[in-house]
Amino acid sequence: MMKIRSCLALSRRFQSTSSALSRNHLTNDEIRAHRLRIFNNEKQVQIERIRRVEKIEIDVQDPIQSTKLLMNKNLSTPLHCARHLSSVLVDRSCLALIDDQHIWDMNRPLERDCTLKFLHFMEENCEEQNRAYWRTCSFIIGYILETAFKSTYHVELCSFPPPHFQAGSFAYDAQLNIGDWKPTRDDLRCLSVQAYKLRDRDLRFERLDVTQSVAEEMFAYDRFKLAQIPHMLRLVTPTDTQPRLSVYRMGDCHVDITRGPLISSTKQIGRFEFSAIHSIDVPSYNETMHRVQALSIPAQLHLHYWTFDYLLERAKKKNNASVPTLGKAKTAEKLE
Amino acid sequence: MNRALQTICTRFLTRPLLPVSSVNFIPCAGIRHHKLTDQHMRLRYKKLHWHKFYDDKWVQRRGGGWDEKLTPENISFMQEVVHDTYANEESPLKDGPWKHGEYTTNPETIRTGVLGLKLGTLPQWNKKGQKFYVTVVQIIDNHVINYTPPEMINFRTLFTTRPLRRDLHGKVGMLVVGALSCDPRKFTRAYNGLFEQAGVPPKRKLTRFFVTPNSVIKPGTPLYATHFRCGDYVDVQARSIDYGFQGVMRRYGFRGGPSDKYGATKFHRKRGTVGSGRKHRILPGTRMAGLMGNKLVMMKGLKVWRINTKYNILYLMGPAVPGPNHGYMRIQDSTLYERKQKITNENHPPFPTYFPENGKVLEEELFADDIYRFDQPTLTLDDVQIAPLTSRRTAAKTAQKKK
Repeated sequence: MMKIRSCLALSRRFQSTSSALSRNHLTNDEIRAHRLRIFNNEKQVQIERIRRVEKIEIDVQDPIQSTKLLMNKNLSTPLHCARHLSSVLVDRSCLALIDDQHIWDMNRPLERDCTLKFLHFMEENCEEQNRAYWRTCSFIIGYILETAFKSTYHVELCSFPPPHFQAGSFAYDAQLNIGDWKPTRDDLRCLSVQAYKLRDRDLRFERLDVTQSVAEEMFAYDRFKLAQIPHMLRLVTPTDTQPRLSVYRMGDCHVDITRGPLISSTKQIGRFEFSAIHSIDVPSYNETMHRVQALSIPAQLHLHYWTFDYLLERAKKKNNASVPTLGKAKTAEKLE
Repeated sequence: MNRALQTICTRFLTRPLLPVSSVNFIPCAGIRHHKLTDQHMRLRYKKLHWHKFYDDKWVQRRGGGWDEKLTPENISFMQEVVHDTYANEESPLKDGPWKHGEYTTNPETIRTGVLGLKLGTLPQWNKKGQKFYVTVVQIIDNHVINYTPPEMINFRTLFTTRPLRRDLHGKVGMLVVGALSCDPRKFTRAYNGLFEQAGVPPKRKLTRFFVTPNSVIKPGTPLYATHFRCGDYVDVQARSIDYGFQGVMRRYGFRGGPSDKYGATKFHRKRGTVGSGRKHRILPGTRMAGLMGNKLVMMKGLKVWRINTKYNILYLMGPAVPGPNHGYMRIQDSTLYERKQKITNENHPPFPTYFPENGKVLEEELFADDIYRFDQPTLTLDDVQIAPLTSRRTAAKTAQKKK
């Protein structure tokens, strides 16, 4: 039975420029397919804008190999550079470092001449990689929430807090429309199994910068996302006249808004366990949502099960990271 | 864990304590025609597993052991976590202690045994001034892990290295006892799960003891060296030292042949003839070269001379207890007829096991009655009987002398 959402007629606090379309007759899968279609179209449009293939010189500096590569502008990604060098780099690198300053996704096209370094999880200083990893894992929770439930249940994703290691876990806030559900240990384990299936499928994370209109069309059926889009755009410092929103797609399965870099592919996930589901009060949207928490470590870090179980006990406690807020966010905390 | 306390892997690292010399390998028994060889025993008890260590139905034990590449702070933190998880000795189980059974001699009572670690040998002296050697055995971190009542055991398909007495089939339960607590990160999840119910840290070595239902002990109870009393007699089962593939001279004490000095061609350490002349085949049980040692050996009737309660050490009679140093051994009450007769309903070892009472502190060293203690006054000639220097004369000689 479709649950009629009571909040359509609620307060105007989160009314956006365009209102959400009614989704009573659509399942989560259909809404997801709609988003992916818009993403594909926009990506096609952006590729067609490249009239001429220009060459750029990339100076790869890596302890394994250091070479200069001639790659295509706006088409070649750091992953392609790694493929030229060695399979070890392809498998283990999760992020790239441009000019020793900017963190770049592995699957994001390069735009100009630069020096390139590959980052992996077993380095001395891997703060950025760890944050990107937990950000990716939160992204994956969103996908699992959309696909794991039966078609009679509507799941509305809201957002996820930025990765904060002191909290002990990463989370995704969503309106599960499920009432008072206390998931058993087996339920959580079933959810975790979905993440392991993703790892076997080896899906890549692709980035796309979209304008506000395209974004609003993409998330036409997601009222929470629609409300967030104008606030996100205000945070992003525009290099062009039009501020663009970064949207990521995983394989050909899921699309979501997130600002920060994500890791290269789902193959790099090691252990992924859902720890708990807590309910939180979100005053910005005037609702009570569920915070789905999980714990994960990359595949490169091979931990004994006993140590991981000890960390999982901690991850079951309620994550105190910031609750989704709309407002003049002075700090760049929301939806990083 | 301390390397010195690791189990010896059979066949690769074992070597005898004393330097090898021919003296050790000549059996004093000589040639006994009625002795039952391995093959005869195997024919009799078809389920005898001399050289098998484990049953295929058991879970895989060893796990972990790879380099996790943690920072030094994290490594020390996890060690503290492991220590704190098992720090409190109280059982986590909600229900109270089990009722202690009564010791009965008429329907015989079999108590648990204990798992010990052979440490080495020491000399001791008795009150007559005679020196003898004792083997020092430590009862290290013993806990009862599990109990299976006799109704739940399938005695027909039971895997045991030594066969269980036929008259006990269906009447004894099985207690699993573990020795030497270890870091859970060294084992697999399946093996660690065996210890969750008892609430003890995972053990490196497990063994079974078949006990009568009245001597059952609750899982999680520790077992100490004071499970036995000084002056009690015990049976010890252990795997003997593995000598590997040995020739017939060392294995059975054959005399071999002369050296090359006397012109002997190609016959120095061989067996000689294998045939019997009449029947054109080699008789089963013919002694030849082969694997020597590394099989379960039982030594019966060893006396407990001394007990150290601080370190849980037993001093057992004799230096020839099977196994190399740092080898595990099962220690049980003796089943010898004369030794069992001395145990009555009033005078029996702590039953079902020794439970430390609150407030009562045991002395550190407990001694048997006839052992000589060095903190006592020295032995004098009055204590010791001296045999006369002259030999006893025969009656004929005495008569001759008188003449």
